[in-house]
Amino acid sequence: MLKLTRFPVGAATRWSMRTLATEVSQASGHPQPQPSATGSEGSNETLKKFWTKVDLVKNDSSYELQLDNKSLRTPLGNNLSIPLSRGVLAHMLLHEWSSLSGVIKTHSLPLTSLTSRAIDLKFANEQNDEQAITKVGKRSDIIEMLLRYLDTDTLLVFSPAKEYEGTLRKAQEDLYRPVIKSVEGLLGGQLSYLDSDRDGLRGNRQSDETRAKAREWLNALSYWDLVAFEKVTLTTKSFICGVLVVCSKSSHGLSHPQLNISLEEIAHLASLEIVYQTERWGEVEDTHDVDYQDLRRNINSAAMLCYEERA
Amino acid sequence: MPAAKTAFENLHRQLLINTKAAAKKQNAQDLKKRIALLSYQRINAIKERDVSKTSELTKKLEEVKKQTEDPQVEVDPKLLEGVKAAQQSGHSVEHINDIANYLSYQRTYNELIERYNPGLSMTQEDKIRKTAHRVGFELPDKE
Repeated sequence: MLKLTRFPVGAATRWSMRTLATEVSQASGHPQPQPSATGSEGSNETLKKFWTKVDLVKNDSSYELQLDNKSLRTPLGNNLSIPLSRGVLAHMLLHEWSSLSGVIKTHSLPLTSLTSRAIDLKFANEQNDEQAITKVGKRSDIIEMLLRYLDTDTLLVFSPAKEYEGTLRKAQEDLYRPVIKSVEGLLGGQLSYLDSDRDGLRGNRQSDETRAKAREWLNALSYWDLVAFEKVTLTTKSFICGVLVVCSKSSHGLSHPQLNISLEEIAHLASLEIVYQTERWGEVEDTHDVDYQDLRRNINSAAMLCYEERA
Repeated sequence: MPAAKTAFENLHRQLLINTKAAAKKQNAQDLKKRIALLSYQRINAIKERDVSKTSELTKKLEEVKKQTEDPQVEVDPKLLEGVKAAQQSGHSVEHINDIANYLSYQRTYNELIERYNPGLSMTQEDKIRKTAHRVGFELPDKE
């Protein structure tokens, strides 16, 4: 059986609270040169294409991705099998692998890393496998970590009224308020926000009641939805954006049609301040242009992960 | 449904761009390998003073070098079939568009990363050669 040990999974594999800082910085997706033992970085970081044929095999309960007739495995050694209800995802994985060529970069397989994480997280937590859990993380720990993003949510911090002649604040009021309101409706609790004029640089914290409601909502998510949620939340620094993506794509959100907003709108909400900053100060090469694509590719990849076909 | 059709066409275009780029790269690599092999065989033939074999290999080599790296490819029909099957369900037009957008974002992102970090996609050999070149040295010619 084929097993890739240096499998490109980016931010997703090694989860522990201790490495939170580096994980979050990696979650932005920029490839960072990592020191390697041999000193010849590049040879270690990359993988040569050693197969000729990529195939997607459909069996009774799932799709499986195969390289030269051998099943592709996740970092924990599970088969990379995708439920039949996620056929589009399976076919896009096929495309991701079949359009590879030459030297393979560790950050060039975002869908595979997301899918592997969902499969491994499910395996580790359902089997209660201690060793596997230290590698991918415990579901409840991940949920607690994600809850912290609700305190300082991008969509819950309002800028001073005087900045940018008041235009940014107005846009925030127009765009954020209705979203906050509908998320409050979904969770069934009040969300406290930060007003920079009133609160200055104070931290923000949600009430225990709201936290409990949000935790309840997260607990109900499937592993696929949770991984997608995690991706979006880490990328946008916003719990609310995670909720929006899951609600607009997963079957979990079907009962809340008012939360159905497009991915482009979600990306716009998450980067609203940047829009006004670049308008005033100009766009910086190698930063704003890369971040623009990065934010959207992350949101869209997460959306593809949690999308389920409805019969 | 014109909206569904445009969405699907858009997705098809994105898939085709990626497929083409991959095939092109693969072709270039295969070509490079074949040229290297033929050159090696030719040198051996010269060493053995085999005139007819040498000229034959020279001819072959020239032919291979003339070959273009631009391949004619189509998107894997299996892929299109799979996506089409999903098209029949739920609010899928939007999702098809989201997938097409994803492919575009992902590709642009990689292009930008490559543009701003030219060393990333280079092979170790290329890196050494260029480093040597920078200080005025050339690596010994393989031939």
